[in-house]
Amino acid sequence: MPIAHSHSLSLLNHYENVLPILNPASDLTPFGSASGGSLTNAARGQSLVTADDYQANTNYWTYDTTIAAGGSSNLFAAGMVSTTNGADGERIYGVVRRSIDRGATWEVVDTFLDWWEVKASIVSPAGPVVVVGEAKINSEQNVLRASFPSVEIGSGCGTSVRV
Amino acid sequence: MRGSADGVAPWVTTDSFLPVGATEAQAFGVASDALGNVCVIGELTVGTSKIAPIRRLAAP
Repeated sequence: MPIAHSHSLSLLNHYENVLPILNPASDLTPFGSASGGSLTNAARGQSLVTADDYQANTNYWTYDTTIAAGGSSNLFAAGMVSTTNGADGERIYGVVRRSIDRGATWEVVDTFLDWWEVKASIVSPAGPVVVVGEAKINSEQNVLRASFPSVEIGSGCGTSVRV
Repeated sequence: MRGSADGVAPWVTTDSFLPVGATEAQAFGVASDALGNVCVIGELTVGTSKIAPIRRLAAP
């Protein structure tokens, strides 16, 4: 799926030494590099399946670093897209994808330039989806910033508030 | 991925994911919606590129 260059998330504030707001993996050990396919979920008698395998640019890097749920069926995954492989400075896009059908299908709802890493995300019960990460504000300085979409859950990540 | 029905015991491996052609898989986050659908996000390394897979466990 091509990236929609909406760039609608933008600077809210600068922080130093900000820890992730959300660590959804705190109670589950991530899967590692073991070989093999999907194993049965003993608790449910079901298996995990790959619902999406998004890659914005063939042969380059696309990866997600955070996911958050909101409402009854909305899920938001956020990560990074690069146009070249390699060093951090070459990761130029942050990207937010949304599922409105409980994770079955996904679409890109927002991209934003000059982020180096998406650290965490959360869906506020009041509506906004907030993504925080490490941004490249200028050529010499890296800071953390928060983005604050002003639209409600389900309609995407829209107009940002800039402070 | 490891899971437990009650958070205490037993913990079991519920998913081990490395598709053919990939050399590394890492999970960075997991979330569940209100109905119990679980999605895991991360990265998959294929050659010199990376892909962002989403693994999903449907609600019962």
